Amino acid sequence: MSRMRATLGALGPGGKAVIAGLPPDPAVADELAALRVLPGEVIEVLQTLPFGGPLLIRGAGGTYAIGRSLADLLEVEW
Amino acid sequence: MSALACHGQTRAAVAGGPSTIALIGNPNVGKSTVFNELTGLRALTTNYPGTTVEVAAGTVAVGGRTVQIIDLPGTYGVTAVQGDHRTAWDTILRDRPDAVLAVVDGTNLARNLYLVLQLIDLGFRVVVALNMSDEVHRAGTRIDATHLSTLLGVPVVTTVATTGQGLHDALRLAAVRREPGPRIHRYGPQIERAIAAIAAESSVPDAFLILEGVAQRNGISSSGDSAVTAARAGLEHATGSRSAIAVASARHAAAERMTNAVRVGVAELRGRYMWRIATQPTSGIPLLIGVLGVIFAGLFWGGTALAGLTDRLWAMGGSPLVRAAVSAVAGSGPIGRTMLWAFDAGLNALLSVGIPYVLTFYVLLAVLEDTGYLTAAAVLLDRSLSRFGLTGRAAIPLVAGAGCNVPAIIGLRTLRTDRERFIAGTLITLVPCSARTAVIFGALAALAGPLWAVGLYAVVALVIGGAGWGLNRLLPGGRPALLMEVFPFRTPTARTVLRKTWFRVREFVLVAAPIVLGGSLALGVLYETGAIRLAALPLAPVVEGWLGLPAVAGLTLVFAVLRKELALQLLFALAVVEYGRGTDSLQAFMTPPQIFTYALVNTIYIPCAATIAVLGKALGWRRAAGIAAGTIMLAVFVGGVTARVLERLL
Repeated sequence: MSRMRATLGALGPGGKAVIAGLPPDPAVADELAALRVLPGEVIEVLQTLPFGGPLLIRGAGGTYAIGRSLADLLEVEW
Repeated sequence: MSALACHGQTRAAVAGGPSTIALIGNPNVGKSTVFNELTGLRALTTNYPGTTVEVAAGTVAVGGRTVQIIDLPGTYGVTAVQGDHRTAWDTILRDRPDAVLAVVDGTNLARNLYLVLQLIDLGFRVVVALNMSDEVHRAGTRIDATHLSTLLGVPVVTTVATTGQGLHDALRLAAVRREPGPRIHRYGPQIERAIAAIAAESSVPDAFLILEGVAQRNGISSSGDSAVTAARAGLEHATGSRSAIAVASARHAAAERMTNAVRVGVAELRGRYMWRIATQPTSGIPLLIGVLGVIFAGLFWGGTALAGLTDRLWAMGGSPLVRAAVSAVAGSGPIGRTMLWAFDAGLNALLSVGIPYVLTFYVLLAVLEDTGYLTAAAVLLDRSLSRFGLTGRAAIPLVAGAGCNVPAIIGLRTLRTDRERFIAGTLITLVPCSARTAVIFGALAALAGPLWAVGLYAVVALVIGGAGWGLNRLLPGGRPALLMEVFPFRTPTARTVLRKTWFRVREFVLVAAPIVLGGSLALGVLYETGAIRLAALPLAPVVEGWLGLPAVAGLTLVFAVLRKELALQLLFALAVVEYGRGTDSLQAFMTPPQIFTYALVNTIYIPCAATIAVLGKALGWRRAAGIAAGTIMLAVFVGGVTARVLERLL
């Protein structure tokens, strides 16, 4: 059975998924990769701030604040 | 599929009678204690309505309304009930109570959460009483109830049944009449697809009853529906087990994940709690205002006290020594006097204006950084700063700019795009640094009153906001997204705070000292030769005509580009020259509105020489020159408008 795909921004607090695709901008993708936000890595959404504010996410590399616009570009699957 | 319908509505909603709250939980979780505590001695053992099964029931008044509480037999899962009790559970499934109060054993959270998840799956409105929290504490761990509530999408109240702690809060939450919220947790694609397929024909609760194999006994017939059969068969084929087992397994896994996410150490729970307070707008914004208030109070009291101290020390020790040395080397003629501008007045300014405020600010900044608060503030401010084309990351250099613009601009390298660096760099030059604060406090607050100073900060804040908004509109390109590592809150240590402060003050002295001394020397030459008066002439139309200030005040502004606090010292010095020794107060020289305009123009117009130098290195010289020219125009415009507004008002 195929897996479900969405963007990281679509996950709510407590949502957990595997990164499937990085944003098209190579500079941003490289920065994410350095933080171990990479395809195949598991990412958990800890908290979302209201009014379109950032998300707090946790991966194997650490805990990060990530803007919603960037989270909407990160593809995940579970 | 009418046979599958009619499960969402509550009995009370239909009948309009008293609310019914069912008390549910695993065996031995303290459910009976909870029941007795809530109902007191009014509880009766009765037959459950419509059955011959005996359950305890009692009525209590909650907020002026009568609520019936039913104590259901202990169970591990609604669908896994044996014998007599089964009838009671089947009745609960048919005649929905208005809410279920799920009593959960905090010391065995994962297995207890299985029941909670199932109740949510079956469409009940659930309130969780996280019981035995005293024993969880004794075991040295904590359960993050707030986070658990977010993950489940239902209220979670920490309770201790044996002392009654939290029980009435839980009851009050359960007694509120409301439809159940959406199901937040998910069980993975295989089960979710099957649920979605069956729910399309009926409802999510019925879909779970069907997959868990208890639909039949609850009067739901699904055997004839091919879509339902196909979904169930698909799930069983994919998982290689009966659908009921597949659901149970996935639900236990979800409960386990949640448990791992909410069971934390004491320190981590405290950190999470503080992080939430700092980043949720309702609590975070008041906190931020409080923190900024503490910074300004610290600068005002601490900085001023320190400045007075170093000033006195310099007058006692440093100044006589320097004067003696200069007169021995260069005599007391124009050359000697010029040297005193640099080595007496210049050094004095560095010691009694620059360093006290910069030092005070950097101690406060280091404490804030070390606690991790600045990161939380950056996350909190990300949304607001987006209006200026900035991310939350820019908040830290912008705050640091209130100490000294120089290290703040050096700190721009942490920003990702050229555009963001340019906007943030421009805005930092408008943030009143400690030297400009010295002018604001020393002239405006001291001579006109503290309210004038508050008003000036308000105008400067509007100017910064307007400039950020305008630049974001004018400049091509967009705002990058925030991406920043966050750390838990910590208690700052004196050692790291002192080390950070030391490195920053040293950096400030290394950059600022040569420019301050060199600039003071150049100013001394102009002053002692009388050339300074010539510079006043071309400025007169702007300074006198447009800004309404004495022409010599304009002069001091020109030379304050060397160091901003120089404006005030020069103003005092020139006031003495113009009006004689008797005038030891600026009040005879300028009115409060004039001092206001003066301090405002001094704050906004062209950043100081040291700032321009680092701005050139950080953004390129053309952009640095552009910012300098732009701020001059902005200052002249805002200053003139303010002067006219104040004239009208007063």
